[in-house]
Amino acid sequence: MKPFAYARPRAVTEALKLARGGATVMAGGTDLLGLMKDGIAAPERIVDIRSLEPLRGWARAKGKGLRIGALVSLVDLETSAELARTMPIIGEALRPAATAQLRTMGTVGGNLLQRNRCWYFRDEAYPCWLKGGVRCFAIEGDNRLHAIVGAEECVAVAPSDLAPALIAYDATVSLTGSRGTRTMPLVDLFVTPHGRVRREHAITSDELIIEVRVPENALTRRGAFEKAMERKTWSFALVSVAVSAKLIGGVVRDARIVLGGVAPVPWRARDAEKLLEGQVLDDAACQAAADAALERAEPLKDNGYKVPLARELVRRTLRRLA
Amino acid sequence: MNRLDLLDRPERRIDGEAKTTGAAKYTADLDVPGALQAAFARSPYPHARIASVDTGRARVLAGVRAVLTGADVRGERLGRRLQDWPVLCWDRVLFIGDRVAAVAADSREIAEEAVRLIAVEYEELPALLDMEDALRADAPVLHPDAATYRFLEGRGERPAVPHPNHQGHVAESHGDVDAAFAHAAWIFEHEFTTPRIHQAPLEPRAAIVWLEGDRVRVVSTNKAPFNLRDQMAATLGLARERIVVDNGTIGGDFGAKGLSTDEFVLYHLAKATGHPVRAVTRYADELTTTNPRHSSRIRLRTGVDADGRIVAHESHALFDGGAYAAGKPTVRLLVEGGVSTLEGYRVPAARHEAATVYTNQVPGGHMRAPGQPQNVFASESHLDLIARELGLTPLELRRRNVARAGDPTTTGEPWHGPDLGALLDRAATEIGADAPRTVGRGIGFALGVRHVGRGSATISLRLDRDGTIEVRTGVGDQGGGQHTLIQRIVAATLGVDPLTVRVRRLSTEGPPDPGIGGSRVTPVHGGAALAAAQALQEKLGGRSVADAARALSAGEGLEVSTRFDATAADHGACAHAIEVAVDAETGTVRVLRAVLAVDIGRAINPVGLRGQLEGGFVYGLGQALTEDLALSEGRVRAANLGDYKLPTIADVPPLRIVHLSNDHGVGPYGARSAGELVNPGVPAAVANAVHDASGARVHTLPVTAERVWRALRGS
Repeated sequence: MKPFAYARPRAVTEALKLARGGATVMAGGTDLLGLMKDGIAAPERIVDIRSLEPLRGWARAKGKGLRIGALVSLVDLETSAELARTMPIIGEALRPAATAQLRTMGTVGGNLLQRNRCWYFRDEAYPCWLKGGVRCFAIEGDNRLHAIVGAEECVAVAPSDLAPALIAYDATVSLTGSRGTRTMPLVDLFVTPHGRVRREHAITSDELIIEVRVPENALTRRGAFEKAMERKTWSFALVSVAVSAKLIGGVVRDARIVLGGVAPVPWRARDAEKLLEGQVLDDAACQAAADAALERAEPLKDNGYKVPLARELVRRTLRRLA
Repeated sequence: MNRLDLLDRPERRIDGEAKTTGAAKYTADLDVPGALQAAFARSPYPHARIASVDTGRARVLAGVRAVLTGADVRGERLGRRLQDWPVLCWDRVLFIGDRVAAVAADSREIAEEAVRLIAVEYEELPALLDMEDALRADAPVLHPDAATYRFLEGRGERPAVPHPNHQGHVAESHGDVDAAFAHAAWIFEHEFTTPRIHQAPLEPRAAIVWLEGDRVRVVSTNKAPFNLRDQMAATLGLARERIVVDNGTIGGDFGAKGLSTDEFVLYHLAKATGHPVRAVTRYADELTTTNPRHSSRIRLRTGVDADGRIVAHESHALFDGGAYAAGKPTVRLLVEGGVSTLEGYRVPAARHEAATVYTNQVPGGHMRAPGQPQNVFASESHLDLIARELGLTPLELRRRNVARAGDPTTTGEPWHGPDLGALLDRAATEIGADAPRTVGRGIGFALGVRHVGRGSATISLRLDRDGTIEVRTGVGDQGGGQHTLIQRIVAATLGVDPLTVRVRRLSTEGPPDPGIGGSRVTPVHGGAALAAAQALQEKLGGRSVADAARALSAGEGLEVSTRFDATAADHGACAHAIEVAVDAETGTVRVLRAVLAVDIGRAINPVGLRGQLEGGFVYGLGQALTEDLALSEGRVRAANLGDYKLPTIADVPPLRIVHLSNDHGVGPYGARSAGELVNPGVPAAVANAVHDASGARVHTLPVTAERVWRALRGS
């Protein structure tokens, strides 16, 4: 690992000043340190933001929804009895994520900003497109774990388990930078690498995530989460699915279906959501929505199995809402 | 205390305190003043000619003390038996990760930076990535100069092979195989494949080499120091006596630590710099460039009579040996015996062909029960398929065919070992094989047997005036509890407190020792410990140990040294029963519970034994369900332990171990070896359970959800 300069500011303004000009921001470090050890990231300066108080803590304010600070550790969310009542899907999504050690170190902001998964991207020996190289090695190589939908030049997949769950509840994210603060739908934080965009997030290098918010009206929805993985823990999702909906008199309103591990971004299956709107959530409706969710899938040579797997997980999560 | 009472009590591990407090010094921890750090430039191509190596920029980097290339060590090749692996490549590279240059520098960071500054020009050559391609008549020969390679065998030469791309080859038979097939009522044929998997010890390989006068001092993670000494002497052209190999604490082995590749070039770097030089393998390099378990393709053909009794058997096994055979210690250069399909069954006539093959892949080596997991997965799956065709339960087919004392086994040798039928019956009872099945659940069986190692070793004892006994041995303890075993055998035999028995491992300056491997330590070193303790007992002349100690004068000791030769044939055995649930829509397999019915003779370290059996089970479970050191275009893809999927504790089901063990083993006090007994049978038991639960038959490891899903849909 290359030597680097390290700073641990105590104020957001100081952090932003330090972050300017190409520093790398670190919170739990669970993704960054792995990238550094594997020779994929070699920052000259690291700004450790763990002492920034305004980014800590989470709370539900009556009528104002849920606010989760960027520095809240995943384990705090996962183990909170209060959150289990307020938004149980978060615990459901986090329990199978990574390991207890990684969830203890990992933060909400870091989880959302972790780099995509692809063994060519994460192997120093491959000068792949996402790292600034000339081509994607996965498209013709071993792509059993790669994207089945929505990819452009790069078929690495967005691995977060938390992101689909939050997006299924219409979460927004607030960023702060030297030019001020902005808030956007969380789904828009994620960008599909393409053309000159060789990154996965719509955040600039001198911005920080401050917090994530879930609107009050979304918290009344039912939700469900499922994850398929190669072993029972410490494994990125082959496919994960988060769904939510209001059921009024058995009829679906505001359905959300978000898939992880299938695309370069958390993948919202909008066609399937529309199909469910106003429907009774019976077996046929769940199956039809599951079919619609994967209708546009274009698997690569080795990852065809992920299509039926994703379809089945969508069907199951929807069934659990009924 | 009665000696057997002691052996029944849980042991206090000799190495336990140092390891749990962090005090243990592993090779990478050893403080050797002035030590430099080494790093290696490696080939990015599976097969290429080296056109030029420019080390100019690396040499002038501040902190770099020496840079060596293949040209500096031209002609030097290393290996455990066949020395075919260049210390540094000088004309061609044969796999991704093959080394072309080495740097010694003041720090690892500088050494690695210097490696990045070495410019190597390659001319790519066509790569042989597939065993079948490598065995074509017109295939390029990967080792055209093989006839000149050194073969470390005092008594003979390398056995001839039918194709130049064979590393090892064996064809053997017993009985009239063709006639037996001609009379068979039914003949079944199946094919199975298994991928490479990695030994994955916690501690990566490490070594430090320095020169001390005329001596070459080596501290290595190698688990057989005398063998490494002899390999180095042969490769480097030095007298054996000049090389002294020692160990630090060894942090796990599973076969990986039998092969050393760094020590040879470290010698040259130490010579060039006048400093000790250390190499600690990065885990990514462990996974991608060392000596994993061979992948295999195994075809089986078996004839049975009208009652389902095996009358004839044929196996054709190919093992991908990769670029070099250097990782294999066996004379035939096979994965141990290479032939172990239908072990534990009565096989009146059989023909086996097994071969290891040169390809441009990472070189294969030995790993916990070498060759057996591949062969046992194939033949125990094959048996289940036969049973289903015959309309017998898999259990019944096995009961009809297990070997009984003296029966001919698959190699023609008579069976020596436990009552296998009793083990199968017990496993079946414990798992509830007769209970009605729930939909989506199933039970699978497999039988595993493992030879008890043979060989010889010397152990010395010295009783001192303070009543303590020092044991001197050349064998190490890589975590398997070997030193505790030796201590307890000595203590039990002499009737003393184990805490008064200290075990001291000698370097290669002591008496020769075969090292750890081949299920050897319990029968061989345990046997030597028993023999030495008995010899000391005799010297006591009827006195107690304490009385004899008190009679010694200051500085005087009562010493014995015993060489023991373990020769008797014997086996440990394990019947596996595993229950799984299969999700028919996704193919996901959940292992619900498992039973092992085992006979390992008498336990010497009861806690360690349980660890070996449970650990062996989990080890096998990884191979069954998740582990796959897959290569694509010659490169191992899983370069970290996040992507290489070892099982975690969450993957381990409730496990019940039932002992039918007795004191009938040929080892000390009736012991048998245990470390390599359990893992080979687990993959087949899982695959058989999946079949029982869902009808899906998976012929390839690991049994992934995708493979089950495809098998269910015939795709």
